[in-house]
Amino acid sequence: MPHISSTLRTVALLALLALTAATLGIHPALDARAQSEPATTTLTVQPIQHTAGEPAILSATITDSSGAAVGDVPLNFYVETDAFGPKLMKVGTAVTDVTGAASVSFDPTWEGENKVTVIFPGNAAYTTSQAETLFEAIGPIEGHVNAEFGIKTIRDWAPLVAFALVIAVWGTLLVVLFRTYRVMRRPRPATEAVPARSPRAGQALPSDER
Amino acid sequence: MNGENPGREAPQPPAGKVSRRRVLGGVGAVVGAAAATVIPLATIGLPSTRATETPTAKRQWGMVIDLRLCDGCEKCTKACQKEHSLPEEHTWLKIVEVPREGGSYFFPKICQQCENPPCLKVCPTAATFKNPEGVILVEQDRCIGCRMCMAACPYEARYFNYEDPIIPAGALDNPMPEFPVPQKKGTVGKCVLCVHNADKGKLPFCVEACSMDALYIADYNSDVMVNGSGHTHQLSKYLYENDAFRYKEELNTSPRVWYIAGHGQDYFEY
Amino acid sequence: MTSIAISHPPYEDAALRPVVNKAGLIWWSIFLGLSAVIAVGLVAYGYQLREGLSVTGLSQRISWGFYISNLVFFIGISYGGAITSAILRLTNAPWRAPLVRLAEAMAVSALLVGAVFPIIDLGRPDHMYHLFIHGQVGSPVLWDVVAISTYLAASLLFIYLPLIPDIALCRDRLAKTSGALRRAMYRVLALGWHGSDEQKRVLNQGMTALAILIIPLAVSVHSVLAWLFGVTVRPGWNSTIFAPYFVIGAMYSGVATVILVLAAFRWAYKLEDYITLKHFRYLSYMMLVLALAYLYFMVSEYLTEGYKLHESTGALLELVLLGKLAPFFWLFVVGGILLPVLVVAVPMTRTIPLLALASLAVVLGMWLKRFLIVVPSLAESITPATKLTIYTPTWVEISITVAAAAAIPWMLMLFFRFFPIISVFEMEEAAEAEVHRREEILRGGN
Repeated sequence: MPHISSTLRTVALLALLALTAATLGIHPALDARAQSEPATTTLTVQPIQHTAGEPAILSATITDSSGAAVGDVPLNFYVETDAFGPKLMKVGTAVTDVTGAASVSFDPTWEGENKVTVIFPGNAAYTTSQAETLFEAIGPIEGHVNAEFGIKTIRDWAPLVAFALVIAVWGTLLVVLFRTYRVMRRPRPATEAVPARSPRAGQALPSDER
Repeated sequence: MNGENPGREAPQPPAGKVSRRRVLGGVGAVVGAAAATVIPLATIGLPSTRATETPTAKRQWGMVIDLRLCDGCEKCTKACQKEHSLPEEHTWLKIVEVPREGGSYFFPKICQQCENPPCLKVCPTAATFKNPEGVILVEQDRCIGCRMCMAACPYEARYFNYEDPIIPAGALDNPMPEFPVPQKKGTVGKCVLCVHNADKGKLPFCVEACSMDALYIADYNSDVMVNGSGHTHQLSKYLYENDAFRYKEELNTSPRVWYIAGHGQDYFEY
Repeated sequence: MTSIAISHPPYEDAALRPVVNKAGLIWWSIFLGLSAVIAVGLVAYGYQLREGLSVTGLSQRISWGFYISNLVFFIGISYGGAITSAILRLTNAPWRAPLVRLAEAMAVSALLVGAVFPIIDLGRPDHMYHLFIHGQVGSPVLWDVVAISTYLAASLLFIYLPLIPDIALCRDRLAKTSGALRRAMYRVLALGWHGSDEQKRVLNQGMTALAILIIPLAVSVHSVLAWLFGVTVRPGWNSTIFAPYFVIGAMYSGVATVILVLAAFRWAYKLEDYITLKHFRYLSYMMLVLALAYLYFMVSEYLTEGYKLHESTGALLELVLLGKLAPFFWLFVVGGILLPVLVVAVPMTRTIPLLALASLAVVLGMWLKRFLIVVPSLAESITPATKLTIYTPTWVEISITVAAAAAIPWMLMLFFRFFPIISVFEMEEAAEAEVHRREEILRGGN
């Protein structure tokens, strides 16, 4: 075998390495250029089906410009409310899995149209993106339950009982007054012969000490 | 006939016959008793009067106050007093400086808009009532100024008008419970959660005036809370995640105002 | 008129003496003096009506002051009537007979005065009609209005019933010496009384029914007054025993006022023969028991709330027991409870003048105690917002209070110008009952 010179061997090895590096794309200069621009992402919100009495599942998937899933990034879920003008109310945050999907559970608080907005806030590698969808919340949806105002049975019956007592008292007073008035107005029967004063009235009371 | 009683000659009915007078008297008594029972019942009203009806409107207002952010500047108090033409001692929202280890913090004390309000229970004329949105309001025309509500309020959130307020020139003189301006001498006033603003889609004056983003208006029905800068949160989640508490919770007044603790204080140190 | 000429019992003459005799210089000086005091009070109230409650010393923290203390106090002293007339009637105590008219008249005047105070305290009394057309059944203020008016109606009826025979007496005996107006008044108010058995029977039934009714009514009045405070959560007021506490306090101050009024009118109208030391002793024994009962309730209150020191109770107790209000509190304990108890307990000090003085101390002390219940719980804030607020009553509040106190003797003096000061009917009743009792004993062979 003829001896290949060491110089030729080194050059061949280096060329092989460069070819491998180029193939593998690990070119420092090329990569630096790629990192100064975050990749664009696309957010897709899954359509939401809501059934009455159940929470709605809000899911979204994020992919990059080449359609590859972006995993392990947080997605913020908002529902639009009209309290004091349209405002976005954050209802949850979820981190995407390897398939780029994330979901949160949301209890709708009003029937009818709910507008869901999902926002990926962006990071060093990816630009921000958002997507929206509408869904119908199916009722009945119970609103805020107010605290119990006292004990219902007592609230219903106590006033009537108290009122009945008061009427009974006033009734007794009126009966006494009426009876007395009536007996006063009646003249003395002629058969009675009682003097105006009792004969014993002149006696002093039982002994009093001074 | 003996002349014992001057001027008395009451005819006696023949024995065994009921006199007409007796019948009339009996009927009169029964009618009187029935009237005495029914008329007051109808006017006084059975338990579910306006004062105690369950609020059922679309919005159910409340507040959230973030104690981590309040710096005691009192812009909220002053805005409220200015917009409602209140005298200086009527601090419907009062900033209280509470001392504690290592300093002090500021506690905005406001009417708690209780769902089980002591003030409403004791008002003798239902001048204090709950509007359909759950806000406790005072109808000044009915208030007799007995101040029982002030004695009953555990939060000292009600103020009596000892004097007529000074009304700025050109201001309207058309008070109503939702916007009780000007206040009437001899009646009681309190925070109305600016429901007059809410109808027009505006925030309460204090929430708008707060420069620290510490005051939020909350709608319990749609589970949302908004502050003056427009920051919006889901109410139930925010309260849960931030260890919110209510003032004097143990009294079971079920206040609609939540506080976010921040300076290491205990919830029950008041 | 009457065919039998009998001599009039001596107590009848004594009872009618203020009615018959012309008012002398002393009577007129006292009456005019009291009228002047009442006039000042009326002027003060007129001023308050015009200017509003800003003329009082009330503030945002201390929203109840003198007027509410007076309300509780004056309604409280009316209990003297309930005890002397009603309770002693039901227990058949014969010694009550000479006292009942004075006691009941005092009770009615105290009630009338007390019932005015909620109105004086209102910020807008011109809107009071709302209470009647929109009254809320759950409000202690409404319970108050209903209870006081019912009790007032019952008390008026209770004094009127035994008064009917006495008015008939005036009508018959004083016909010749009275003017036409007075005669007409006696005739109308006597309703045609002629002393028949049936009339006496019905009258007695009515009085017994009222005596039974008036006791729970009296208890209810002061209980609802207590619940004005008891339904709140303020330290010092947030107590379950407030109702019996107030009722016992009312009975205590009521009996003391009866003793005071008896002593005063006995001296003024020379009733020494009929209102004797025995009466004062019996009444003061009752006062002693009530004093100790009140002390018991007070100790129970302070002990249970002082043990727990819930919320701002600590600050409240320090204020009342050790701080700015401590002199008044201990003055009440010593002068309003301990000294009167001693005066009654020690036989040597159980004389009419000393008992009257002790009763005066009780009455003044109980007013102070009512003040110490109402104001300190408001003075100590229940939020961190304010600390201690000072309450300085103004001349308006003080004049109205003094006028109210003067109104009671004023009304009594006027009343006894027209109606007998001793209930002749009940004296007769007691005498007959005593004779029957003695006959029973003799017949029974004991």
